[in-house]
Amino acid sequence: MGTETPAVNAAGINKHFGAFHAVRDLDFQVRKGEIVSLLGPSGCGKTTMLRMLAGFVTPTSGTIAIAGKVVNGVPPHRRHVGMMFQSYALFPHMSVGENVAFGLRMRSVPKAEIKLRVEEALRAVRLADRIDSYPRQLSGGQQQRVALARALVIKPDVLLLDEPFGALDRELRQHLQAEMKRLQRQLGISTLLVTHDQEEVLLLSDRIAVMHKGRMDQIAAPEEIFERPATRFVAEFMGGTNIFEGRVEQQGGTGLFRIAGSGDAIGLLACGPFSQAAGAPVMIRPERVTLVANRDRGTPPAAAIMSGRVTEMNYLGSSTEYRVALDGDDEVEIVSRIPGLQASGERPRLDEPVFVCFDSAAVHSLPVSSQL
Amino acid sequence: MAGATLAEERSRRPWLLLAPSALLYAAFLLVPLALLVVASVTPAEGPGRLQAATGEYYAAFATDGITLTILLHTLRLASLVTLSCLVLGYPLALFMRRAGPKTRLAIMLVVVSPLLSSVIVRNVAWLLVLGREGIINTGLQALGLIDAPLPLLYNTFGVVVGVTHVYLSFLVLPLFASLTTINPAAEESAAILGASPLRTFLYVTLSLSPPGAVAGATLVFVLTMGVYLTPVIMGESFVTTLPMVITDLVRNQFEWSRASAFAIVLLLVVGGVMAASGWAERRLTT
Repeated sequence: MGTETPAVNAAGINKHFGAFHAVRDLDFQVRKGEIVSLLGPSGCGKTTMLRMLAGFVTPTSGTIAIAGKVVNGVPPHRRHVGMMFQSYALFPHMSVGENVAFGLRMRSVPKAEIKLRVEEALRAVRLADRIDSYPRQLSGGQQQRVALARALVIKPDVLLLDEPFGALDRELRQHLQAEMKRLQRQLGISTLLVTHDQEEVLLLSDRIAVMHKGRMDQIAAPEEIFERPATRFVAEFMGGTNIFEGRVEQQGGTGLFRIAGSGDAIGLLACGPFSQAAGAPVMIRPERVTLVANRDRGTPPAAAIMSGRVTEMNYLGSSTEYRVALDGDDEVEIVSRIPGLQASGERPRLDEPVFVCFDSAAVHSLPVSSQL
Repeated sequence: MAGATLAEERSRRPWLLLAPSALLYAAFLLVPLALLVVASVTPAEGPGRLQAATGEYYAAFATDGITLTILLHTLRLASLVTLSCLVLGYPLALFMRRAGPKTRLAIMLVVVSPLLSSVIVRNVAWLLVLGREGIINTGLQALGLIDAPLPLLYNTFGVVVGVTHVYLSFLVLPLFASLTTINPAAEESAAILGASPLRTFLYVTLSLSPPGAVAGATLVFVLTMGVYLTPVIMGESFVTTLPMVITDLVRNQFEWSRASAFAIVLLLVVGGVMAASGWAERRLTT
């Protein structure tokens, strides 16, 4: 990539709606051919950012460049951008073919070429046989694909997707997500996706930007966001439920993390630079925590870090989630998610005492929570 | 079997709900209509009365040049009022769609206000505005823009103004309702696909508004075909419409049969207009 002009370059973007500061000091790029996702809960400013790229919302300050050209002040119809809305927003009075042709007609492309490109776009989304249908005659998934074809046929500098799969049921959603990824790779189209769905974002994105209260907490590859969240908010939003407050103590050359209010200490061996400040939390993903039943009050296994008692058991199909109250303090709980493969005899039962095991490399330190 | 009973019960109840209004319509619409048809083919006098039906009044309508001219004038008036309602109503409905709820309510009240005031009060007020000594003419003369008063009253223009004022709401409200069903994202889609605001309006907003516009325009047209008091007051004897002729036949000339035949003709024309608009609406929306 290096010196190549990014598809989108947003620098120092702020947006105020009256007293509400919707987007704060946002800086990010979408490189040629990659999918970047804006992820966050509703009201985090992600949709506002998308609409600023489309030109429907004017930033209060900052510069937006699309394909190297600054587009501040350029109205939507003069930006060469493709956009797919959550409601698809197909034109109900036009056939599928007319819908897809619309952007080309607005660009005064010759009729013969329009015909070819519309057919090509509909073939790409596997709807070539529905060219004469009307949107209301199509299923939700088909409408979504028409909307995608309509956005792609103009070969936009960047494709903007606003919660594109939000209105579909699970099975169809997964199918279309895979389809979308295939098409995006094939066409090499630079894409910005806005979503609040963590699964979707991991599947589709090259990079994820997590937004929180108008700010960008972290922008990184999916593994990075998932395994090494930069803030407590990112950790929580990505489903990292085990977040402990406490303090670090030195003990014979080894850092030990003592959970606030508990007698237990988590050994910290290789978890990287660690904030010594009080209140710096650590995170352990539930998938990395295993439990060993302590039925005969035997000796703990080598990997055991803590002990506790199972207070809750939730069967989730492919895995089982356990809540364990740690010994020494009933208030402190750790969650473990164990794949369904473990033999049933070895599975801890409700109310049973257990040893809690995890690798110290699974412990990820978070910065002292910045109060936003 | 239990299901069938339930279904039976369900199907019986709505008919009971319909009964009161059905009785009303039967007594005050269908029966008078039947009497009107009978009267229109009954000879006014002579020994053959009540024995032989006659089509002479219909024939008279068709062959008498004056009645046909008046019918054409009535159609022209209805067309002009419909057109002026469309021209005034479209921008208003578009504005209402974008306005906040309070502004929207205020506009709605203003649009509906003529319906809430007496037809006489309204028309007398228009006389004060449009007359030779009305505020428009005196104002323009005081400013030196015109030498003689403009003929704003007692002509088609005056009647169109008066009728448009009352019936604008019948166009604006259905049009506004149909505009609110347009997904704003469809217009944004058009913009992002490269359509300028004008083209977005033409290709999307305007193209999706016919259901409301046709319904509203039909209402205005049909209502204007039957309007009586406003042309009488604001057009005096210079604007004659079919309802005025029919009223005159009944009240002054006691020609019940002729009046009935003319009324049936008016009814058929209105029915034809409604059928045509229904057909147009289906064509425009599929």
